[in-house]
Amino acid sequence: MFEKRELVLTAKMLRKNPLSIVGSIIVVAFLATAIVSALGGSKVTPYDPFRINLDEMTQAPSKEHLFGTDQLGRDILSRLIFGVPEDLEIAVVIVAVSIFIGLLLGAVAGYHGRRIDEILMRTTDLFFAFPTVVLALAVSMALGPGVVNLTIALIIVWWPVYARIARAESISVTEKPYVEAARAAGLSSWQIIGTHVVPNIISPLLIYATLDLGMVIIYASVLSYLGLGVQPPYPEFGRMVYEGQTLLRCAWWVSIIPGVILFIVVVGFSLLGDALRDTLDPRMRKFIK
Amino acid sequence: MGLGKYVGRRLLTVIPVLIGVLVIVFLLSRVAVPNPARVWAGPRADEKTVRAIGERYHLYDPLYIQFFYYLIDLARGDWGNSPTTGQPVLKMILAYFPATLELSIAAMLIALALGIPIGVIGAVKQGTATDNWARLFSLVGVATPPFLIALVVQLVFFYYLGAFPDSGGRISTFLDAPQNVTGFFILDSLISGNWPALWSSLQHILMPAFSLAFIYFGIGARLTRASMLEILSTDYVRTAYGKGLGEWTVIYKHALRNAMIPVISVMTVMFAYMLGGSIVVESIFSWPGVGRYAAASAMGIDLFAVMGTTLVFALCVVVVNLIADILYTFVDPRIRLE
Repeated sequence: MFEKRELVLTAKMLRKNPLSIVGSIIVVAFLATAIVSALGGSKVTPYDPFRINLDEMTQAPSKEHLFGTDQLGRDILSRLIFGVPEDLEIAVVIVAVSIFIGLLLGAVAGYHGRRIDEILMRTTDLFFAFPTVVLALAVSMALGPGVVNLTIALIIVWWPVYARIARAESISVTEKPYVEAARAAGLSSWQIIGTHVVPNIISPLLIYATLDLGMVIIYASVLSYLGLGVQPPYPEFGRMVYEGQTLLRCAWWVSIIPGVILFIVVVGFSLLGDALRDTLDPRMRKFIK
Repeated sequence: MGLGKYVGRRLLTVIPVLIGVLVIVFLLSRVAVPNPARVWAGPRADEKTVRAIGERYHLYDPLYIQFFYYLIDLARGDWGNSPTTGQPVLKMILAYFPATLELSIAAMLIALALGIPIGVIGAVKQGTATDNWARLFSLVGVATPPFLIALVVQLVFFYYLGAFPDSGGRISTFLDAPQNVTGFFILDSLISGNWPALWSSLQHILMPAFSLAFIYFGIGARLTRASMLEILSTDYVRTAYGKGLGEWTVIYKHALRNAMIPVISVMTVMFAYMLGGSIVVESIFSWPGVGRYAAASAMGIDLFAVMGTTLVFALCVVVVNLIADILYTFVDPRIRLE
């Protein structure tokens, strides 16, 4: 899957590009916060993320409350820290399951070609006929609010992209000599797909997934913003933005800060994913030498 | 093959997609409300009433028969009524549609005006710091959550700077809408010479259009850059340089035109996706379009409205794709032979 040489080259490339360093730092910080928060829960946050304290409502960011408090007096930083593992978990599950489904369908379609490929292409075409947000919204509405339904809805919306990528890679791998050799040796289709096709197409998918993780988090936030996702009082970026919207003029931090944090996280994943994708490009490798 | 034949063939491919879209929306509405008869009858109705309603609306028929009746209803214009307002969904969608269309077109123009130059600069100065800045800028655009940019723009320009406009919506609340010719306020006020309305409409569309464009210009910039890079390494561009043409002449007259072809075709498709992206932006700016209607329906659990708007958005994507493909054949007639 990944050779040691590739990993060393990748690390070298990442070190050279300042943007990717920034991206890596952001992603690592995000992951670290998620892990610490998941393990510690509300014990790790400066304040209780759920405690309503109307005496302290809508306080501007200060030494006591780094990101200020919202309209119910809850510390915003604590809420963000508490909500991070949930967001990460949702995103990872969605991407992982989508890759799994897409990889399988794409590899099979690319290997067999013709009829099966045609079916896959038409099906993904159908999914692409809907703008992503719109389809996610419709499926979410059909399933109902809540985290589980949100995850299912986004998986349904997301897998076609990975299926397409997997299919394209699968087609080029299928034409390689070692696949032909395997066929001549008498291996069954499934054996070939499992041992030759899948391992060779998985790395572009994973690289794309890094970029995609940020996008998934945005979509989960948009759906939560619209009320179909993480339900209050559980903190989530989009939901917090929505709840603070009416206070925009007098207490802008309630809405804007969760949005900015979300933005930074997504930028981090995008920078990292972009840099990783550049390392795949053979032309860039020459620059490192 | 001639244009007519190509259009005809292309239209044929649209039909299965349309059917598929309708099937999906139909199935989604069935999943959402598994027992509509009970819901419509109300919780206190007895079994007989529920059954009667079920019979009347064909709810006990096999699924494909129900789909058939669903299609007939759609064609008749009965897309359901909103439970809260009692208004027919289709009527509301049609009323809101011009506003969304106007907003999306304005946003697309801004996105292209921003994105294409950035992409060109990035390509021409590839590998330099300028290129990195251009790529960073494009990435920032794509990574921005729609609600963040809309709220920040609103906060900075509306609340803090008090710049424009004076209210939400498409036009100042103190003015009447311009005489309805196209449904596009900007065009209508131009046509009727209604200068106050024109000025107010322009003011009102700027912030939401910019917010919507911000998310998509990055895609256009990246595409332009990639496309330009490819063109700049081709033989005829090298020939142009070899002839002694200045750098900017080469770029504008020769390279850019050809680089634009894939960009335009993808951006037309992006336009259809932008229609969906309008959901959040329209809500925040109180822009009376289909997007805001969809968002309000989602929050208010108005199923018919959500399914109706979903169907409309999907239809837009299909239609825009079709138009883009047909327009593409004018740019590159070889496509028609495939």
